[in-house]
Amino acid sequence: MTQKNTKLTPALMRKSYLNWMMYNLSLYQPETMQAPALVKMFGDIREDLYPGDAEKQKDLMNRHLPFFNTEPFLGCIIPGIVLGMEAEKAAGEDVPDDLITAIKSALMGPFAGIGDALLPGTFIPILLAIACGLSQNGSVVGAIFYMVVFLGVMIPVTYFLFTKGCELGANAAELVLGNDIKDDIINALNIVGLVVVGCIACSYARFQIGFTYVKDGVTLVDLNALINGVWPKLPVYLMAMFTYWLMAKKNWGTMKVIGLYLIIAIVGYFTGFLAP
Amino acid sequence: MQISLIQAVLIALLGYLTYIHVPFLGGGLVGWYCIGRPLVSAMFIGIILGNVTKAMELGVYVQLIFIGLVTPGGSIAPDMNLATYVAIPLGVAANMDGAATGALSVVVANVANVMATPCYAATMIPVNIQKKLVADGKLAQAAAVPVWGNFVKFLFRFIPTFLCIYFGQTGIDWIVTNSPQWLIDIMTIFGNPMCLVGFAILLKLMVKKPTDLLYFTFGFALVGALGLDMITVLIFGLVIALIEFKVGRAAKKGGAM
Repeated sequence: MTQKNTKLTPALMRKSYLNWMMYNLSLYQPETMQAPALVKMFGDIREDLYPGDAEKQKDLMNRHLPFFNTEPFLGCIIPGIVLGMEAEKAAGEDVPDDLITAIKSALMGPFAGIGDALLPGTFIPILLAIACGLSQNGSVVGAIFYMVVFLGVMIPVTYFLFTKGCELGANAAELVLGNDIKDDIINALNIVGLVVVGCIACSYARFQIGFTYVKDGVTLVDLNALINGVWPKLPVYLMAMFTYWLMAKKNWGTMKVIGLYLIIAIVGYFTGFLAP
Repeated sequence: MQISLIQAVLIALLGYLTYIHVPFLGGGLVGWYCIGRPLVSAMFIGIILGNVTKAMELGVYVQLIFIGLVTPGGSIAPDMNLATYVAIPLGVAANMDGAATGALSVVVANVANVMATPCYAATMIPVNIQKKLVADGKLAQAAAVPVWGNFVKFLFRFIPTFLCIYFGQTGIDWIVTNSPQWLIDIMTIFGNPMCLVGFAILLKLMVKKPTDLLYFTFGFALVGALGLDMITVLIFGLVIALIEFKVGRAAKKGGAM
């Protein structure tokens, strides 16, 4: 393998990493999405890449004006890869403009998908579910736990991905996308998530059957006690499954489900079937 | 309690700083995904209002409703940010319970959606300025646009949040003190199972095959039937996950255990 020329330095990587992490969504809009942040990232290092060459600097920023969009944090590997390519190009290597655009377009979709699934779809909710459990009774322990663990994991992970992107170029994407251990890790994390969510659902959601049959001051039937005697918090469990079925199998939106909850609450209250 | 002018300003400012598109706390990792989570925001709102315990109690409830919120590019999702920074302060000020605060947050999150499209349209102004600056060769100025251009988002965050907290508190207070008991009861019944909506969104993401629901049931039963605490449940979950992980790895090595 021949060593390629590059203008990449550790200082340049750090500067660009911070730049991207801060401004990725700053001017987010549906037309060019995260492109303004890439323009800023390269604009701030234009003197390092092309010292004193105004025309080359302008071309550099022009290349990144069009649409770019991915999951910005785990997907920060893409700005990393692009930085690596631009730094080689600036050092005189033959890196066609089309290749840079092609790499960006090819990778942003997969990383948007995997990033959303892993970060707000798995890691964050699991941590939050644990944190909510720790913050029962108004304690701040859960909030502090979440901040420490989340940042303690995500800052090193994103920095690693960004710098790996810079160093390995497009091969770095293989690290994440082509690795089969990833699926087993997601699978295992999912299980922890499901168990924890079950636990939180049982602790927090309430759904009380209020129906009682009282004769001569003696309670003959207390439906709530009866059902909870069969299995503790069975009504909550059934309501959870019902909500899941509506949203996952019947494709109901959040507003529709909440509307139904309101109707259930009103009917349930006036018939006396539900208790607060 | 009364939310003072300065408290309302501080809360609305924090609301802006922890919005998804705001760079000034170090970007979305620290802002939106960390301090911007309702649970963490609640701690800071509680510090500003001088009642951390109450704020955390409400924050947990709002957090659980929005726990499954994923905001993929371009889609307009419920406005968790505005909901958090309006419902929790008002809930603390009017001494509401978790269920009522949760119900309020859901209403705010969905009403606030109307701001999304005008905000995107307004953001096009700095984006087009940046394009023009690059074309004119004013490169340093072009690179600076994402810094000041974020002011657009400030207008669409700070102002509505501030108005809702500062002028909404009298209204909420009046509603809470003058509501008949039946209305309060209905709102409680309505709000009590609300977090199940958040969990359903999560289950939709996590359940790959129907048998996965057994893991949910397992966690539910550990608390409902056995009364275990969170940490113990987590340990059980980790053990099962580890076994599943090892089985998965072994299967990929051609079944050689």
